[in-house]
Amino acid sequence: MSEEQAATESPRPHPESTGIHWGDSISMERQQELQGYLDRWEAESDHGERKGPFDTQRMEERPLTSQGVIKDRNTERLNMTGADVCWLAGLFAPSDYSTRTLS
Amino acid sequence: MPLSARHLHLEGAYLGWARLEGADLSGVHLEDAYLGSASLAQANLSFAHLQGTYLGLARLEGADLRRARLDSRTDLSEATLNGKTRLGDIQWGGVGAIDLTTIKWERVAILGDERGVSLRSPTSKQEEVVRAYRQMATQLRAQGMNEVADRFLYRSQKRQRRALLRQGNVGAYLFSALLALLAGYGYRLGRIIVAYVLVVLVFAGGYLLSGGLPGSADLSLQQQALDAVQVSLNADPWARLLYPVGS
Repeated sequence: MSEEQAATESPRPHPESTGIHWGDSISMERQQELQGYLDRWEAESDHGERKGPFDTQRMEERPLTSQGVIKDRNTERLNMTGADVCWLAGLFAPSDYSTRTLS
Repeated sequence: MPLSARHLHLEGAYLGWARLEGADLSGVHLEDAYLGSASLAQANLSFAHLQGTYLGLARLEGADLRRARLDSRTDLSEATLNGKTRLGDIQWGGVGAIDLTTIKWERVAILGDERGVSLRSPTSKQEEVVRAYRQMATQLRAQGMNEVADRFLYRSQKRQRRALLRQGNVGAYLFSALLALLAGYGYRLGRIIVAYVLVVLVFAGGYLLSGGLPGSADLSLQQQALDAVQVSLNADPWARLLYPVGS
């Protein structure tokens, strides 16, 4: 790719395309995956050592499968992107949103 | 509607290298989350819960960390800050609780907290800026980073002077200005020497113009000038201690 081509390209993806930056959209599959984490968190009566629905760094500390096998940390860790967080923030934004940001 | 992550719970989440530039993460729960090398430039992390959060090598240029909650497990190793990063009223979890020694403070000439706060801004805003500098100085001094702490304390004094003027406290403002002029609030002691030399020279000049001692008109101008400086020094009580008259 020439420097001229690189310069003319937008640094941000098209709004309808997916990306990894805060503000980018994510795929339906990814939305469902993240929603699954939230749903499982809601459904669980005991979260064990985990501190939040996306606390996959501690999954190795508790049995997750029906066979009671402790899953490996690296295979279970959910790598979240800025786009993921932005989508989740949209879910959590209250309808009566009022800014608390410091001026 | 703007997005906000106020109620978002990301405790323990893995966000290494995440691109969160400009993100509104105000009040978000990030306890024990991994944000190593994450790009948080211009992100709003005010009120964020960052206890135990790993922020090593995170880019925090222009980020707003005001009133964020940290503790001794929060890791800011080699995080990048700049003069636009806001650090006021952070709950540090104790004085010196978090290692700040690996941050390149030379990139932080001023705190971002003072940006947008002008002479016309409310007194409360002025005081927030002063407080931010003093709080940072306290944290840094506890870790032996006295040079950076002094720089921030000097800046706090300058901003305090502005606040005094905003409050209409002219007397205190003028006294503060005098201290700044003479000694830079104790952080620019070279100024007192300059002031001392200037005072001696001014009085020597006055003495010289008044004609000096009787009979001195016969002396050369150079000799008269030296005499004038000598007389000016003799009039100074500090100089008398060093050079007693008659010795």
